[in-house]
Amino acid sequence: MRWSKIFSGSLCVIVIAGCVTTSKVTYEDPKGVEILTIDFGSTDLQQIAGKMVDSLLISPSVVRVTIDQQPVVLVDKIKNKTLEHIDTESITDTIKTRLLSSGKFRFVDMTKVDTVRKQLEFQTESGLVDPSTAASIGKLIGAEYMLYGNFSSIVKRTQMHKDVYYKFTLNLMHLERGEIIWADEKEIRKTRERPLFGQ
Amino acid sequence: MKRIFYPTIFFLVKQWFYRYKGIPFLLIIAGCSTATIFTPYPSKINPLIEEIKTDQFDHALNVLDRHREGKDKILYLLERGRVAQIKSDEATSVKDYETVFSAIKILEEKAVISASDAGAITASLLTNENAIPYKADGYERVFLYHFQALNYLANKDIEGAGVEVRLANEEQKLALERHEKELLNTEKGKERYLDIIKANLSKQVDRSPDDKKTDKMTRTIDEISDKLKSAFQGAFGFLKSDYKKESKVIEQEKTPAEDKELDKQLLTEDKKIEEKTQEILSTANDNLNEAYKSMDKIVSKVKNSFQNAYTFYMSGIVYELLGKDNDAYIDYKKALEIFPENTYLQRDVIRLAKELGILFGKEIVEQEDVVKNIPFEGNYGELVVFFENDLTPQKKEIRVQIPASDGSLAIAFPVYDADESKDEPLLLSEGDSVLGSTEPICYVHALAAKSLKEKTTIMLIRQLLRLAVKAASREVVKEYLGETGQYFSSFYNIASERADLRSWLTLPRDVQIMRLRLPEGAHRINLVHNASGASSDVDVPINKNKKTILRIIRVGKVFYTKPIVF
Repeated sequence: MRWSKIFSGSLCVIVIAGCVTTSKVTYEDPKGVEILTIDFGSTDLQQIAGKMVDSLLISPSVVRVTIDQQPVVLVDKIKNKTLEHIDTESITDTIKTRLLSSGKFRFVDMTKVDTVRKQLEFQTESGLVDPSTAASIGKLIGAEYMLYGNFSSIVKRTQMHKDVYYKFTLNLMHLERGEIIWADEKEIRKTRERPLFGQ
Repeated sequence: MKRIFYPTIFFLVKQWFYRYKGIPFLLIIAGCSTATIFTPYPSKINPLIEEIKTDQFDHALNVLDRHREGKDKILYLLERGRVAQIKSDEATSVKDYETVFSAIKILEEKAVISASDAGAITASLLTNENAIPYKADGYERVFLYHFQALNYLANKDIEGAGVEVRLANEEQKLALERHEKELLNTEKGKERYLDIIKANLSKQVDRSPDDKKTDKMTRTIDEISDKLKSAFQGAFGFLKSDYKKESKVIEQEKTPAEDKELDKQLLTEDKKIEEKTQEILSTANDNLNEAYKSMDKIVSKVKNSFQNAYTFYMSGIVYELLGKDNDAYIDYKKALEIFPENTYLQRDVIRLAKELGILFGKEIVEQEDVVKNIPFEGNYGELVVFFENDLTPQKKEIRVQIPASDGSLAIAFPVYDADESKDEPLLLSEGDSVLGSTEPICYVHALAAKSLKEKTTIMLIRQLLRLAVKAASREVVKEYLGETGQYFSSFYNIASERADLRSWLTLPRDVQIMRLRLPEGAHRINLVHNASGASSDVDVPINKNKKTILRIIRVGKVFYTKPIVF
């Protein structure tokens, strides 16, 4: 009697276990808050990009220079000084895309200079491209401003708690004058508490 | 005291046998026979090390890869990451270290009292310490980040190396805090250990198929926990040779008249066993003490097990590469605090202090003789040499058999051999001119020995508890399987007792550094290591005003060299 109980019990467990091993895939809102771990995640990235773009676009000095022209901006690599391997280019890409779609700025991409040069040389020197349609050398647009910044973090940990503080700083500098016309920072603080009992 | 202790454990094991008919016992034995629980870890790794000594890597990498999912995956992947690094296969090494990194992260984030921990500890009580999943000691975790930083450097990713260096520094800071806390809270630690056992017992109750029994069981478990607590403190008192006091307490206890006779018998029995045990344990204690004393000479080389001057030094180099001289200065100074005699460290600290304007006038003149040999101007580049010498010594087991009236028990402890060897510098020369020799910056074997010593208390607690559980299990087996079973049980108890010999074995024995300015251009540098007889030539390019890191790993008589040019 007892063994049959155990047997049916374990059968149940096996059946249930068999069901949950199939992984479940769902679509989520990319803007939804993600808190799977304490590490840097999509929500942090969006918060930083959102804050920076809003602050930049409403800053009086930026409004002044964008009122009757579209300044050309170059984006420098953000220095990662945190304790995580974070793709800072992904953050600046989001900022760049949003600024572009605001229609107030134009951008040059320095990471693609080599590819552009090769293509231009191919068009003008290889003899394979119709000269009337070939793009000519020496007409790239020069950047007036540079966006650059820092990303740092402070981590404090005890046996039960972990506290992470991120600080993202971004500056907009006039290249010729060296004047910083705008700067802002975004702070994020997250904590994690370990459960006392669990698996 | 054992009057409470043994029946308690007896009861526990009996419950297991009642409910599962000894199945878990067999399962544990069967399940563990392939793992490190019964085969000592070094004997698994040593054949692989022999292969590495002769420049063969692929088999070792394959063998280590098989342990990717096991309970000791952290340890095997640490070894694998290092082996891949020696082979100069950074891509594999980065991945393995990343897997270890996430495994450690999961450990840090899981519940303080977790069911899996409790399960492992229970298994360890019936087998040995090796049943507990490997979590990597503080010094090993620091080396994990350190070696990962070197992987990033090899790929010229200085910013990535910066992240790893910060993680290594954080780990050292954290380990220091943890260590200070542990010193204060050994008492608390014992309580926590009991909590874990209690949690596991409660879990077993939940599984009980019979609901009526549950209430009774819960009550019993509370009682057991209380008894275990006092028994536990009593067992710990063993070491303090506190027996007379204990016996007096037992004598004073008031018992009903009908139990008195039985109690008297038990008491004399108890005393006999206790005297005998004390005698044996004190011999065991002496043996252990002697073995641990011989470790003292190595241990005295370091202040604690996790502050690693090599890591601070490399961190300084990374900060210099990132153009952050101020941070570099701080890390060089930390390294110098640990190794004050290292002349290369002295020079770096003085050089940066001058550049940062920390040293003035008189102080500079005083230090001038140290720095005067370094040309600062001209078409020079810098060569930084990291020499990782040999592989770290391995733990060995000391074993003490404890004869009892009906069979015997054993305890086994890990120790490091006393290491009498001297520093073994590497001589670098170019053509006929001697460039210099390396100086020690880290004794890894001392860090390992210190780390083992720091863990002694908790190991001792578990050892005593295990001794009791095994003694009790023998009684249970006798009851159910008779004399034959008891023999098997005795045999099992002795055979299953194995010291925990696990540790990262492909780490270097010690690390030495050298730093000098060389004219820009290609250099062919000759390496000679007199202590091992190894020698080799290596081509090193030097760029003007740039750094070239030359990492040299010696395994056996082979140098594995890797110049990283910036």
